[in-house]
Amino acid sequence: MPKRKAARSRLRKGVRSVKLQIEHASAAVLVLEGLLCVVILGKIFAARGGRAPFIRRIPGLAALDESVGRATEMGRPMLFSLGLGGLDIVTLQALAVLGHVARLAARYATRVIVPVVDAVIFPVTEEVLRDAYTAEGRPELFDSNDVRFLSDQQFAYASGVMGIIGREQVASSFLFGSFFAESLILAEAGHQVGAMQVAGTPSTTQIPFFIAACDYTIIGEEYYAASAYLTREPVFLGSLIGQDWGKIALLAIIILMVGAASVWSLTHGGVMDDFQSRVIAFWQWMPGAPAAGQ
Amino acid sequence: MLTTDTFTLWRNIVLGFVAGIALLLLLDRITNNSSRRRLMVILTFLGGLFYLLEFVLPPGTTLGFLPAPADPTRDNALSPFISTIGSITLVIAGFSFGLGLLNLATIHGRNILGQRSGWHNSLAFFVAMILMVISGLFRGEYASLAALYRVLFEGLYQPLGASVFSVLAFFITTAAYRAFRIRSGEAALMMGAAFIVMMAQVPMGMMLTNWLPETGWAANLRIEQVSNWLMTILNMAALRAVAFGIGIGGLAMSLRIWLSLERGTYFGKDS
Repeated sequence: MPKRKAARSRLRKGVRSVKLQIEHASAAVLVLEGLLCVVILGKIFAARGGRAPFIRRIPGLAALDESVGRATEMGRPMLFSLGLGGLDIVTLQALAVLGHVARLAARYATRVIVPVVDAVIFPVTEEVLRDAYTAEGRPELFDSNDVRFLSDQQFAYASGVMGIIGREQVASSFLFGSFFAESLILAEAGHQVGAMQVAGTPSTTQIPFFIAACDYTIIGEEYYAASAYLTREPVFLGSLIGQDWGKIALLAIIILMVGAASVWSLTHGGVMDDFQSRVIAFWQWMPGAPAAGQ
Repeated sequence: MLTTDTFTLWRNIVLGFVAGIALLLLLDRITNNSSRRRLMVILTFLGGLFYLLEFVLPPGTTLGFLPAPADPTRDNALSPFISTIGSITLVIAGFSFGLGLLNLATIHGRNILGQRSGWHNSLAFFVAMILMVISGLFRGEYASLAALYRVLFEGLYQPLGASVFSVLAFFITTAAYRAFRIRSGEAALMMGAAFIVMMAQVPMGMMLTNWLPETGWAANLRIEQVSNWLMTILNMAALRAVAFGIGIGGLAMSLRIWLSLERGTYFGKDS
């Protein structure tokens, strides 16, 4: 077998994706994360005193107002699902969007039903809704029964939400948070009653289902841009700019590593095992840790 | 019979509960809104700082006032406290579960008392909950309750969950039927890729290109190879790109929450 073919054969067999096992920050991870944090925080504080940066239109977030208006015109309630997450940053971001929707709902006297899956976020959700109605000067419209703890089990929650959608004939459905296999169940249930559906999730495996079944889907970093888009607060806008710079930094590192891998491949006949082990050793090196093999 | 260990355990639980309530009431009395907010900011920062230090300090790092880690090759001085703090979080979650149960009982109780439409479903909820709680708590002591628990969990709950999950098969079909419309070039491209990937999953699809040789350059045109290339090269690149954005977005939001820069009524600052 020619040398190049043998090298390519070794390449296919020997090089595989390896998950780095990092329980504590290695030096490289520390530097990279520190750099990202400095960039994000720097942009946050810079945005406080400067001009508001431009954010492109995100159709899914722009559709939130339209969805609330639709429910108001039809005289039917809305449903807002926070997903299956606990009190984590994904759910907190969903709560931020809920706060915005709830304020619109209070303004237009439209009911919003919020089924929750985690008992820990149940009181937080109630407070968000109550505060939204109070902020709009309509505390009397808040109904604590509209925040319902259904179950902490995935398909029991999905069944409960399907039941609420079917019985209440919701006009708009908002699905924001961490979703798993029940995502399409919720989305299809909303479609069956003719609801306008807006979904947003960082769960990449569920994005295709939401795209297929919902009217608008917010994917990837757009989910975390929701706060900035809806509120236009300098802190959020600066954070968004910092995130974009962070992505540029990561892109630069990727291009650098791709170039390095390409040069190595050309100079070592396509044999990448040594390159891969050197890269892994670099990323996993910690000061004071014993060298590999010791 | 109440043993000394059981008595000590329950005593500690009751004392801890009472002390916790007393502390909360005291804090409520002596603090006003702004000092409460300041206290929350300090506690949030300290909590986040603990996890940050535990992650960034290399294994084997000792802090003078803390005991050395049991496994210095893996842990640092703060690592043993991770499980303790996790347990505290579980206790808080346990209290919250009572709130959820109260909410369920209130809503379904109101349905039954008001004889609203579907009140029999609410009655079924209470019956199921009571049976499950009793059989779950005492199944270790009574064989009949253990049998009842098995019937309820393995005979009822698990098949019900599987049934709801199985509805997905039909929902995927209907959603795909609605979504896969060739209205543009990109849609046609997506439809083609979806067709290849789907056909590569079934033997009938693989039969379409079975006639191609298994070795050589022509083997790359077999439908399972094309499908594998689409999933591992094109699709994986897009997924990873999305994951980068999500990761950095999560980092930014975590920073804002940790440093109390987040806006929103539940963070004590109006947006």
